[in-house]
Amino acid sequence: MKSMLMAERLARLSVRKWLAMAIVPITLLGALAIGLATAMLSTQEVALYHVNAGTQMTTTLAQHSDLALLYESSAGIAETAASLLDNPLVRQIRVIDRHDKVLFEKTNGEAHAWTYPPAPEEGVASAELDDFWVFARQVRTSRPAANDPWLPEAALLGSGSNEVLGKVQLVLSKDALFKARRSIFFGNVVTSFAFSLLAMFVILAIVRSFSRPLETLAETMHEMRAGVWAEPVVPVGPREIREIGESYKSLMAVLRQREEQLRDFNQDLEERIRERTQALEAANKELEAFSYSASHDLRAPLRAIDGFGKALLEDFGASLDPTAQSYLQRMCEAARRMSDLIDNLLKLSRVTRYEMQVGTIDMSEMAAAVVAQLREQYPQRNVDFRASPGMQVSADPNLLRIALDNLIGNAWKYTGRVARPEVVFEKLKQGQETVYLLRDNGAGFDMRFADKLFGAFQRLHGKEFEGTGIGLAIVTRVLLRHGGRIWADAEVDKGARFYFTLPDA
Amino acid sequence: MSLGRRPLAFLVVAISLATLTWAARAETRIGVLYPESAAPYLKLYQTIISGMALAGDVQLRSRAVSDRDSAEDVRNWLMSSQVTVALGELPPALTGSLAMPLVHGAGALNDNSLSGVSLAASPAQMFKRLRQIAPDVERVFVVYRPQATGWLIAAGKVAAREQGLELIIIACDDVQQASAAFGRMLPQTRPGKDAIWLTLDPVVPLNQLLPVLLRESWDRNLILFSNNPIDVAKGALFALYPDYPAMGKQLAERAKKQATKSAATGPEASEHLNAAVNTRTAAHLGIVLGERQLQAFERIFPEAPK
Repeated sequence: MKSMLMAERLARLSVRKWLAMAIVPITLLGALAIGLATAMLSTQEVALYHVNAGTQMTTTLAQHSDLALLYESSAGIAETAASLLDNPLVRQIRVIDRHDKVLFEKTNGEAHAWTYPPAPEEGVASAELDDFWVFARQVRTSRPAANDPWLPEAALLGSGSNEVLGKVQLVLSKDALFKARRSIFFGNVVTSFAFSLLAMFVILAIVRSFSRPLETLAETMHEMRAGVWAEPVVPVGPREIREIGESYKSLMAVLRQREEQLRDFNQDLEERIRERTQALEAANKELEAFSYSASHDLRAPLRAIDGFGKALLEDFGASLDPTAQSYLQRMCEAARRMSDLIDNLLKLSRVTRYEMQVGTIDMSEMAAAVVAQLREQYPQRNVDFRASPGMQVSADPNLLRIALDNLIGNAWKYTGRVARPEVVFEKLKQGQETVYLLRDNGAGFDMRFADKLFGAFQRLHGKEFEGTGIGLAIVTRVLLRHGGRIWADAEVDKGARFYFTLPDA
Repeated sequence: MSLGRRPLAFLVVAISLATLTWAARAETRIGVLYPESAAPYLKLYQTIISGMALAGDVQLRSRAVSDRDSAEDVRNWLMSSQVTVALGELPPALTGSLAMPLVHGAGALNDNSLSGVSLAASPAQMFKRLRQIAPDVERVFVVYRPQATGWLIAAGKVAAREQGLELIIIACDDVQQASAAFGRMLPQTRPGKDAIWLTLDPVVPLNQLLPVLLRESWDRNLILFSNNPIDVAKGALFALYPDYPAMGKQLAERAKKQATKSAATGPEASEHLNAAVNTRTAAHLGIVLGERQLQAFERIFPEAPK
């Protein structure tokens, strides 16, 4: 969680801050590393210098100790020893004869039990202790070969004497090394940091020179995304960034031109839609007015046909033969069905023309009222009806009642031949959407004809179930007027499921 | 060539072959080993080897050797030689187990048991030259180690007697004894009458003692003579030192004798010598060297500026 937050914060940082975050620690760490490395190398050089100095001093001591060892007298060493001991770093000088007898020993400051390395046959042996270097060298009667113009004759004829006279030992303090190490370390680290700060400022200035124009560009783009179409500023800075700015400006100009064209086109389109809609509405009104008046006007002759048909049967039925009676009955029945059709057409027309008064409606209560009415109308039916409580919607109560009358009425009707009829009205959640489901265990229908289900005068069943084929068309129109929709699935003899949506309360 | 001349030609060829065969049989085959070394030393060894070639009836082969050479390789290389000459200081492993006589050269030969020609000058010539330069000298002091230069001192005793000199020998075992011996000896010396002979014996640490001896001999009017012209350059009166080509020849002669086992074992001193003199020291000692006397010296110090 923390890492996600951190990643989110990092993602919000600007290029300049990103680079600064990378450059500053890297430069400082680099400076520290360089400072330490150079301090270490310099210290090694200083140590080497002191070891060389110690070696040289030991050699000098050996060269000046030969006569003293030869004559077994320390008098000849005193002067050399004194000059060596003038150096405060030289802590001890010892001259020892070949029988390991100490001929001369002098210590500067506090004496320690220094352990000296064995003196080799040639050269100087040195050893490093915690706070000192110790050196040892043999003193021999021979002298190291010099650049003698007489060579090689001199080497052949020179004294072949190469006997051991004894050895010299010298202790050199590391105090100077420690001091040098401290000053080198602090000097290097401070210098490195100073250089790194300078380098950092230069790098950051360079970074700023191209990050600033990028930020300006990003701000302009951000404003554009937010809908502020200000004139893009062409950033100053490196060539590539200027080119990006110029390209962006050109792109914006093209977009602006296209947007103006689109706006003009939309205005034109809206104008045309408005005109067409007005024309369509006028045509619809005319059509509705026509159908209403046609339905209304058809009812009068139809009532006359039905009325006179019934009068004929009642008044002259006895004198008519059975065939004539049957014809008259069928005519009256047809007139009645046509009257129902006209009623439903009028209902459909009313639903379309009706001016909605939308409010919050408890659909559960309304469904219960519809069911109560149906139980009263069909007392012989024993339908098991269940509805989820509290299904609140935002709808017009009159239109919603018509829709529920039709839907629940259909369920009531199509479960008429089932032994244990069952109707359930419930609310479902499909993703973010609330869907209402009315299902039954009635006759169902064949899904092959599902596309005809919601059209006017479309019937999927025969005479075994009465109906005009307009009910579901009315339901569809009610739901569409509320901004909802409806669909269904079913299986023959296994019931039907009607799904619809309505705005939440 | 006509058929008539063929017998004569055959006779000439036969005589030539016989002569060559005789000559080859008479030559001593000498294998010379010298240390692998830098150019100046190499030149010196080659000078000595070229001097060896001056000796008659020798067939020389030479080879530089070092620690890297195996003893077996060297033995194989010497297989055709009758005698080996070892110049300078060679790794002991290479010369320790040779199945032929070994003759040493180009060294001080500070060991009575070594066979060869030492760089040490012949005491007879030394004392003869001393007599010529400083006829007033009566005694000659020498400090030595018997195991090292006993052979030279033995020859010195004979030579001193021949020149009417008293040779006072002081035997020492180590450098400290030698230093102490000089310390005791110097107060006993008599100005103008005594001389100190500096040999190549390592018991005398000349690196340390020469400055002391030069100072003391200057102060006491003593004659200091040596085997090394460098000592003369520093202030000794005179020195006799080997003439290297001639020493090479002497070495080859010794090798020939060694090959036929007709020579005594042990070291012998260089007989062919050059001489050096310090005229400033001579003047200090009151020795007057005439032009003719100076011509007998190959090197005269102080050297005239070039």
